[in-house]
Order: sequence, then structure tokens, then C-alpha cells
Amino acid sequence: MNFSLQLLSGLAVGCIYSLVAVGFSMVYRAMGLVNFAQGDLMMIGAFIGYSIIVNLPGLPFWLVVPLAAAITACLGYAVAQSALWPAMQRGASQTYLVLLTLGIGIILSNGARLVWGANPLVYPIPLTHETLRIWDYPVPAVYPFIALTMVALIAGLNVLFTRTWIGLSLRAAADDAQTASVMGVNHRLASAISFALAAGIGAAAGVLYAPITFVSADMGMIGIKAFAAAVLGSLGSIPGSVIGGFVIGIGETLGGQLVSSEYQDSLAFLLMIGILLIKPTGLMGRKG
Amino acid sequence: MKSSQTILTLRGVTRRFGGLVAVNKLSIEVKEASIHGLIGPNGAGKSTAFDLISGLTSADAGEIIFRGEIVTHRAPESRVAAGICRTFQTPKLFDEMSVLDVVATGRHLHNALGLWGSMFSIARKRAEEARTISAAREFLTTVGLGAKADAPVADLSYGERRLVEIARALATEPKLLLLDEVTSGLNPVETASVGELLRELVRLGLTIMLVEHDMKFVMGLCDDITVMNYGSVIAQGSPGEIVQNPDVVAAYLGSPRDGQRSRRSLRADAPACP
Repeated sequence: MNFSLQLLSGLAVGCIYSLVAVGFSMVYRAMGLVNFAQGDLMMIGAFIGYSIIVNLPGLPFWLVVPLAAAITACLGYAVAQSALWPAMQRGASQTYLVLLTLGIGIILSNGARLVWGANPLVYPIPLTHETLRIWDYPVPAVYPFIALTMVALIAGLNVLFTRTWIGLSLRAAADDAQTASVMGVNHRLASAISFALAAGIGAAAGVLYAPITFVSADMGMIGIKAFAAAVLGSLGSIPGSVIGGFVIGIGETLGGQLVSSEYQDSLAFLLMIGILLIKPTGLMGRKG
Repeated sequence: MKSSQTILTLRGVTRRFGGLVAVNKLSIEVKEASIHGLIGPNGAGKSTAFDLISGLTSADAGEIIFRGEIVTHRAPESRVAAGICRTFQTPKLFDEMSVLDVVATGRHLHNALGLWGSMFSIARKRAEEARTISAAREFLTTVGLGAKADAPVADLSYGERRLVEIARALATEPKLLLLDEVTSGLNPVETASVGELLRELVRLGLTIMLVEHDMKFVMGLCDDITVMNYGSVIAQGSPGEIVQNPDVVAAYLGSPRDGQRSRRSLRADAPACP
């Protein structure tokens, strides 16, 4: 009985990791860099969601998700245009870009502390405390909500990238920016839009995560685990990131149950190291 | 029939890579609705000239004028908007896409809604997506690959990849099309049908520039030819004038004495490069 409950909780956390990991992969493909601010963008999304709930108390929770995502996407767009693109344009090395995104993450985290305070916040909505009964077990009511939104977001991304003109152009620019530019695709704009989309998805993950945790300025730390999930599934692969998120989420929850929940984080990374030892290019990696 | 109006002018265009002058004071006039060949031995600077015209690299000196506008330092995407599109020496497709999607990327600037508009107006967006796809299908049919629309580009033969690249370039609806070694890797039948296609496109008003190694193809198709060697122009004129030019013969075969045989091999389909 406890096992099924833990499995559900692992799945829920896995959804969150997956969404943040997808953000890592999207930015990696579009801009060729690892955005270590991805977790902090998720944290900002969670805080923006909090402000929306507090200021617009009548708003249904399912509307908070896209609203917070849209606002965070605008922030992401600004970050890409003002900081990342100019650095890339000047031929910044990967080392510099890693430090740049880490720095942006720290600024976001400190900024959040400044705006929303240092104390962890709880979403003041019933969903935070409600439970459902599934097969007679009490399950946080937000779990099915997390699962549905996650599936909808991934399906939406899939449609965007395969069925729409804008998605095609984004993929073209990510695949070969020079050739895409000869088709009229502006690399700078395409990169910034991909980054904004990744930020928006991260923010959605933050709002979904908030009801099962606290919202705090160091919430972005789970970005590291999401990064591990993305690498585990092959950085740059969106299906890989989803799978990696679930492997880490379920693995750490069940492993924590078997050993001790204090070792959850180490178990997540142990899992990543183990899988990468066996398959160095990640789960979705090509041969080689 | 052919107008003698100039569509593209290069005036003293120079590009250096470190100490190497890849393109040296290149001056070319390309007439509208004509086929202009750019030939020369390997490393003569032909592909760099295409990079300069399409905006993938920027000139250190000189001027590029396209339809009366100076485009010398414009970004590639702005030159596509002005009507310049190109293919590459080795076809550069987007390898994870289907054939139809690759061609659809060429419609990027023809989407009436633009990047932001398409995010907000769902109904118009759907109509626009349908238009993009049907246009892409048409251009694919133009190059004779209509039946392969849904195949992944990774499954295509080399010749088919070239044709897809041409279809994608045509999808941008260019006024000037730059084709970099369009016949290399094609069999004689495919080469002949590409020649037919290019003639037909020019008849419809398109201007084409060719970088080409197949001398028979170049001589049979081009209205004008520019010959480059070591980054500089060594001869310009009609195909008839070019084959008679001793400098060209020397540049190609490195043996000025054996002029008679050289001329013949310039005319024939023998590979031009030693």
C-alpha cells in the first residue's frame, strides 16, 4: 500500500522534473548552451503564481498556470535578448556561458528573496491540502492535476514543433542556424523564443509543484536534478528529458523509501551516474 | 525576350581570411532573367563569392548591389526577404524533418501572420498553415519529388537531397537563385532534367547564378560566365568567348602550349578540375 502511494508521488515529482528537463533540452538545442538558470526560472514562475493567487483570489487554479507561464516567458525572452545573445554573439566560451547562466540564476534567486521575502510561502488555495481517494488511498488532489497539465503541455509542444510553421522555423534554426538564416529565419529571434518557451514551461512546472511543497527562493535547486534528468535522457532530446524526469522522480522516491528519505538526492544522482556508465550518450542517445 | 537590366552588381568585392585573400576585387554584373556561371579551379573563391552574395560572410571591401539596393552588410535573412536564396555545395537539409517540412521552412517569410501574429490568432493561423503546406507541396512537385513528400529527408538519395534543397530555395520565391554545384552527385538523366528545370525557371523570370564543375552543363546553359582563379576574375564573357580564352585554358589545365586539346576538354564533359 505504501509502495503504490510512493509510486504516485514519484510520478508527480517526475512530471515536474520532466518539464524542467524539457526546458534544459530546448535551450540546449536552440542555443547550444546549458541554462543553469532553468531551475530559478521555475522558482520565479512559482512565486509569480503565488502573487497571481493572492491578487486575483477568484481566478481558477488552472488559469494561474498559463498566466504565470506567460509572464515568466516574457522574463525569459528579456534575459535571452539582453544577456545570452550578446554573449554568444561575441563568441563567448562554454565556460563563460555556464557562469553567465549560473549568475543569472543567482540574481533571480536573490531577486525573488527581495520581492517575496525569505520565508517559504504556501499557496493559499484548497488544492494544497485536499486529498483524493484512489483505490482507497489518500492522494494529494493536485497529483492528477499535475499529470494532466504535464501531458497537455508536452502534447502542445509536440504539435507546436511538428505541425506549425513557427515550430518548423524554430527547429530549423536549432538544427542549422546558418542554413535557416538563408531561408529567412532570424537566429536571434528564434533563440529568444525557444528560451522564452523553455522559461514558460519551467514556470508551469513551478506552479504545479508549489501545492506539494513550499515556495522559496532556493526552490530552484531542483534544477540540478532536472539537469541530471535531461542528461540521463540525452540532453537535447525532448522525449529523453521526459523519460529522464520520470526515472529520477520515481527512482529517488522509491529508493528513498527503501533506504532512507535523507539520501533521496544522492540516490537520484547515483541513478544518473549508473545509467550513464552503461549508456554514456544517455537513454535516447545515438550510437557512439 | 531577355531584358538586359542588371539585377546584381558586385563592385570590387574583397574578402580576406587571415592572410589569404579568398575573393579579390570581384566585380560581376548579372543580367535579370539570365543564367550566370561562376567557374574556376578548386579554391578559386567561388563558394566564398556565394557566401558574400547571400550574406553568410561579410565583405571587407567593395559593394554588393541587388535590385538597386546596397546589401553589402545586410544579414542573410534580410537578403532572403529582398529575393536572394541559395543552395550549398553539400546539400544542407534539416535532417530530422520530413521532405515536405524541409521545403516548408522555405516559406518562413511568406507566412502572412509573422512570428507574433501566429501565436495569437488561432483561426487565421490554421488557414495560413494549410497554405504553407500546399505551397511547399507545389514546389516539391516542381522539382519532381511530389511523391516523396512524407519521407524523412534522411532516407533520400544524394540527388534527391539536391532537388529538395532546390525546392526549398524556390519556396522562398527568390528573384536570384544561387546554385552551388547543383549537378555534382547527379546522374546524367538527373543532370539533364535539372538543366531543363533551370531553363524553365529563367523563362519565368528567375535569375540564376551557378557555381559548377560540369563544363558541358555550364557551357550549354549559361548566358554569361565569370572565371575565377586564386580569388580574382581572369575572364568574363559568353560561353563561346570563354572557351577561346587562353588564360582560362591555362588556369584549368596548367599547360598553355596544349591549347587545342584543352579547348576540346572544356567543351566536352570531361571533369574540369585536374
